[in-house]
Amino acid sequence: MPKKYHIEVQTMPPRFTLIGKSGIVDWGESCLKCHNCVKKLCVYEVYRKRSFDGSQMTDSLDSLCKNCFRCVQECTKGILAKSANPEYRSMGDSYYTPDIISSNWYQAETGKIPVSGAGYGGLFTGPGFDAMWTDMSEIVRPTRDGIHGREYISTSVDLGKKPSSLEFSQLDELLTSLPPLVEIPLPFIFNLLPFGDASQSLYLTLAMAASELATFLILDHNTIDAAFAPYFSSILPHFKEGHIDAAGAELIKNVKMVQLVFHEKVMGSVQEIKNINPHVVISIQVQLNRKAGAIVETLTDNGAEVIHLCADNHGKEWEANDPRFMKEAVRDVHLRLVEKGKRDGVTLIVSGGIAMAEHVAKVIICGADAVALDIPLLLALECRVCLRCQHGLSCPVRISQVTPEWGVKRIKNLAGAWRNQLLEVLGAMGLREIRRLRGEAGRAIFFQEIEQETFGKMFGEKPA
Amino acid sequence: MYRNLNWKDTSPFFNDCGKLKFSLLKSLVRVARNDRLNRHRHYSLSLREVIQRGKPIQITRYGGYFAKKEEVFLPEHVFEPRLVAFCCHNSVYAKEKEAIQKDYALLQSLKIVELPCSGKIEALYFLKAFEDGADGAYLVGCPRPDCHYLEGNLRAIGRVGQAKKLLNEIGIGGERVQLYLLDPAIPAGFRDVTLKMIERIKLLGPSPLKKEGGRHA
Repeated sequence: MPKKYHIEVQTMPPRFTLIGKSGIVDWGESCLKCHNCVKKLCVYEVYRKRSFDGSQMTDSLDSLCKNCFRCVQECTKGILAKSANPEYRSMGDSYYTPDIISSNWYQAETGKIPVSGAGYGGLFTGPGFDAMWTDMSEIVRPTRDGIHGREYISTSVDLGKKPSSLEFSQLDELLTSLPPLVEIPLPFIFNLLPFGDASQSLYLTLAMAASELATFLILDHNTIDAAFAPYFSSILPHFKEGHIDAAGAELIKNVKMVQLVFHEKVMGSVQEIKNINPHVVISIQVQLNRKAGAIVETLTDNGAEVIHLCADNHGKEWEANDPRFMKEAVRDVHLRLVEKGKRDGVTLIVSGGIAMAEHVAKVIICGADAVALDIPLLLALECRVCLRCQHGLSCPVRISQVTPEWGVKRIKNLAGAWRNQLLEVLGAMGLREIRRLRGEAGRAIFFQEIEQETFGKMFGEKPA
Repeated sequence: MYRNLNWKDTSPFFNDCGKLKFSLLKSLVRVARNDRLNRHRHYSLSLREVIQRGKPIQITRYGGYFAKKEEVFLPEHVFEPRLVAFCCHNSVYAKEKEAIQKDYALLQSLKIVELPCSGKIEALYFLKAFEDGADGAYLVGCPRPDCHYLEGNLRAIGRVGQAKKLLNEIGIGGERVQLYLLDPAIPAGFRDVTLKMIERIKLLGPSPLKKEGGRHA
């Protein structure tokens, strides 16, 4: 058996007090000073460990409390009350909800899969990825002896072009020249950060984490300097302009992959890079919109190896009118290539709107080979998606001051927790390889489709 | 010898609101000595320290991550108070929240902490705000009969009084803390009291803690 890929996780507490979901309102003026005060009896010692973070204005009472309600119920004078924390509820936005943010914080802290408790109290469908249910038919099959036990489920993916056939000479020598191919043990790479109080320390942290996880970090080539040299094998330089200068050419010689932004003459730039380093795999970044399918097909015909489809931060197409969610848009691109028999000619990386581990599996079912993470990396480093940095305001969690010793472990914890969730999903589907999940739409139920199938006959087309 | 500051020329240093980018405050800068004898000499200071000197000064930034050599002239330093606003979630703030959160110029000097009820406030909250470098703090709640927690705002009155007393005792000054129980029917009530508070603190000057090297976040 080959050695299993494993991500070591290690509890890494946050630097700042977390924003708790709910908090205690304490009307201490009415306190009778009982000798058996409920505050002393708290089993989690929340009151004893109480602290207050002045820079954040956060009370540890709100984050340490486990909502057992013992103090609220047992206080003889009834001076304690529990209430929702408005600071928590106003975190993030419509897509990065407070629950998604705090769940990622938990995963980055502990490296464990978040467990929401007994039963699921939420809705069974919703917008975006919530309208997609994955297959769990194999979850109870008798051969299952644990995804971390003897079973080996591979999460490796290949980035590059795969030839559709191989030619051999009469002497059984391979005649086909094999294009360069890069294998990563995780189906995700790290994307350019859409926002964030950037600093060299932050980028070094991401580069070190990518290196330890053996995946890639996409980084603007202007940002890369000598400090990144030990991590070149995990860095994917991003060239915004078509022209490549001498420093860029030097960089290309030392890396395994390069990313270019799509423009009309991008294949000329691809050739230019191939002349510098023929072993480098080139990814072309294309915006996910209605034209993306045609662009991807043309690029595939012209010999593109990897295409990076970028949706916006909320997973929507870059369209002014009626943008579709990425699950529909990516499926369109994937199926278009499948119909033309060109799917294996190119690798599709999808980014934007990947906020949870389940989104990785779901977008792969829709046809992506791998995904690129951006905002979850910031979440691992305690980001609150407040977007203050976009307006020149201070970062409440000082992301620019992240140290690699702390940050790398947080990102590894998040990656470990996400990978374990992918293993759970694959195990429940009875799949042994994430490569086989690509485009397996039969492994998922799409709510809109099934609703139309069931009720469409009776009530007709559902208005948008 | 100093040219007028042109915001467009200095955009790497200043944000949309025309104020210095926060991240720069931590960067070390080499400052040219202004006296005639040592004009060719430089020494390092944090940009924050430079600003606190309160004089227009020529700055050259070198090397590091930014790897750029540029010169800017900082405007004459004006005291801009830093305030912490504690707001009841059900008060007038809820109506103005959306507009206030887009007012980036105001948010430069204002930290807003939402509370479930003004009765959640404790004197400790105010003390911690001053410890962290605030020049003033205020609490916005609902008018007397309208508290969702029935008597939370009444408790807030007592606690703000207690905080004022403590601040007076330690020499920061109780007048830097205010309580506003506002009728939600008043339009822009929160903005009005914020501006009023800024004026009040401008008159009082920087917090005495800052002068002794208090943390200014």
